Amino acid sequence: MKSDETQAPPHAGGPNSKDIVFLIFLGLMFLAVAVLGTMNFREGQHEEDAKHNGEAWMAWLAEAGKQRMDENYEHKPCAGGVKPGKPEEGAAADAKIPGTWGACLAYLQTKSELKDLVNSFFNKPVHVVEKCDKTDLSTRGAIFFSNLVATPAGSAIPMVVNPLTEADAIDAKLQIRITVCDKGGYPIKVGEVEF
Amino acid sequence: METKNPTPFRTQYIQNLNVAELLGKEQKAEISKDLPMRKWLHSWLLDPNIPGNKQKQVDKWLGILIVLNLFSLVFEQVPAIFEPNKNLFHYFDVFSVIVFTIEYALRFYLAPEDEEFKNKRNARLGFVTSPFAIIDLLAIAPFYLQAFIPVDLRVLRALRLLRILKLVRIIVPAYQEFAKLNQGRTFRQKMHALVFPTAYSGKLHELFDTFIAIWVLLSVVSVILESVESLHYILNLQFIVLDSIAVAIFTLEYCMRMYSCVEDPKYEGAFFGRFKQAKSPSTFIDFLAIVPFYLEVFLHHVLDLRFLRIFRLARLLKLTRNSDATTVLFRVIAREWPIMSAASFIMGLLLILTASIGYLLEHEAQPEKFENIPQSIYWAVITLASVGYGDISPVTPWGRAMTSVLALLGIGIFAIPAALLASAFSDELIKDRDALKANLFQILKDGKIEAKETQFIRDEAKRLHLSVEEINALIDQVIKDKEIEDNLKALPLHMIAQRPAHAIEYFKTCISEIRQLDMLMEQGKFEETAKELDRLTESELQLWRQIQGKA
Repeated sequence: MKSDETQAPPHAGGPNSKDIVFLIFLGLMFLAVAVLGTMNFREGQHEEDAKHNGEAWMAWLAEAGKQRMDENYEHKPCAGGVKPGKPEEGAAADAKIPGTWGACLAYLQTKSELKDLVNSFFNKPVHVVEKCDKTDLSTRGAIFFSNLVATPAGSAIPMVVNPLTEADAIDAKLQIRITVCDKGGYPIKVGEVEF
Repeated sequence: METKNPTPFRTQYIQNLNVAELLGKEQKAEISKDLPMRKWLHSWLLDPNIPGNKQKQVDKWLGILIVLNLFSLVFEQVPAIFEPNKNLFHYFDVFSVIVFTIEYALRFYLAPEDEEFKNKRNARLGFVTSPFAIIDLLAIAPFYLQAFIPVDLRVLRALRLLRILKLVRIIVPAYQEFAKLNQGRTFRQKMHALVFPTAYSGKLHELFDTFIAIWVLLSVVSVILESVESLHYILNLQFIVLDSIAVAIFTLEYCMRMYSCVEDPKYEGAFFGRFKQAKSPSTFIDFLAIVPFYLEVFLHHVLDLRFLRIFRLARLLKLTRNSDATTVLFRVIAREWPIMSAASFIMGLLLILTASIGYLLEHEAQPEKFENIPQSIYWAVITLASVGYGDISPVTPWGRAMTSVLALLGIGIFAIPAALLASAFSDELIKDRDALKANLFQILKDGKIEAKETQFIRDEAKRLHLSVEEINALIDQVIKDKEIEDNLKALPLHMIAQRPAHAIEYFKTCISEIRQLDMLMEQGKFEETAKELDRLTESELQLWRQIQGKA
């Protein structure tokens, strides 16, 4: 049966003082949810920025992947066909070895248009990490690269995913997965590209 | 009214009882075919005062179409959804405009038959200038406007938002009914009537419930879709907005329930009443539905609370408020708990024994699979439950022999709780029907059915899923029982004993009365008093329990 109710007092009508206090409380609750929702939305927007950064990297690497095997490729540190060698004489101690991902990455982060990308979580340039870490919130909005290595035909798993390290050679074609870190330090896969 | 094969009692006591009408079921509208076309159409489609016509269905489907239009407008703002389905959105828009145009044309044509406009000098002009008609026109005008004037797509979409205003056609009458029902009542009482089902709630409460149910479904669907990586990637912001709106709605609903619950005598008391309400399962579910949002927002920098997101699916449980199925389930489990716990104990015992014997027989042969007893418990559960994944299986002859026996035992052991629940459900249904019969008897005794009683029969019929025919059969049975009871009560016992059929009916009457006694008494009070005062022997008490279906 439907619930019973108490009878209305004779002075019934519009809201009394208690009702008005409740309505104010209700309004404040609504405001609080709106504020929290806005906070969430802003964090979400930062994630969107991080994804756009990842997409920009993916577009650049995909474009480079088509041309970098050509002899006169303009972005030399990322050119293909160059076997990893030794740092040039007189180069700084932290100089990257030519023909490696480290050299290409350093070039892209300092000389290409990708250097202007901003990690909106911290309003700083996008940094590259080895992996997203939920316990380390400084990885929020960061980007990381994985190297996808195909396994022999008939294997149970089609490919092995390894972090792309600075020492990895880029003389041959690579299959790279680009991932960015979300507001909680969890990975968001942006895509895979042939470089 | 008519009922099938009316008995003397029925004709004597229940004049003009129409069960279909009583239950609010569909009736056949009595609209003459000889009416002029316009009047006939109006009577069938738009007249709210003719029971059984199609007016309610027309309103319902138009309401659904308006809500779908709202969703379509929202999804059009999401390029990832809109772009690949552009044509679908366009066809839906065309379809909606066609339906709304037909509706407008029909209302325009039938205006002279409408109570509101028929007395005006020019009924159709009266219709065209009425607020509802202006809203209806605004809902379709932008579509036709773009055919003549180049309109910016964004402006067009903004204008299409006006279609939502069509909902006022549904909301305004419901509000008017609500205002009438709650005339002279306090603000809090009105709020109580809005959020809880009461005699003062009316259609507005149904709309409120529907609104909440739509948001529950939207929110649950969004939680499920969020787990699809590709969708989450493109619709992340939309999911955030949707969740925030859902939490805002559910939070306001929760506050309204907590504030107004004290109007119910069961929850009297500003603090304790509200605390009691907060502890009730349905309100606790409401709390669970919103709390993950707040915890995640406040604590996500400190703790990893991502797992809490899955608890948003608990919002689905909010829908159980409108269903009695869960209440019946909890009642059945509570009633059968002693037997079920005994069955669970036997199951646990068998499980540990099986795991231990399995370990004993197989450990030597397969030390890596039957490494210890806890690991063997997994194998025992999978075997006893007849799941048999096969990842761990016995290899020794004794192990295999034991497994064969166990597998057979498992079928019986695991079936016990299921069978118990099934039979308890059936018992509960019988008890509920008996209670309804007892109540029906009380209701029908005075020969008239009051509004409160009608509502009770409707609610019970809905809760027990009884059709018009079943209610009719119950009423007939009540009447028959009453007649026999009246006849038998007039007879002395030795006369009843002369006819076995009478004796059986007398016996049934006695049992029915004993059952009613239990229903009318406070739970467990009979047994408690009987034990305390030592008034019944153990066998008498056992007989009481058997009659009540508790033994």
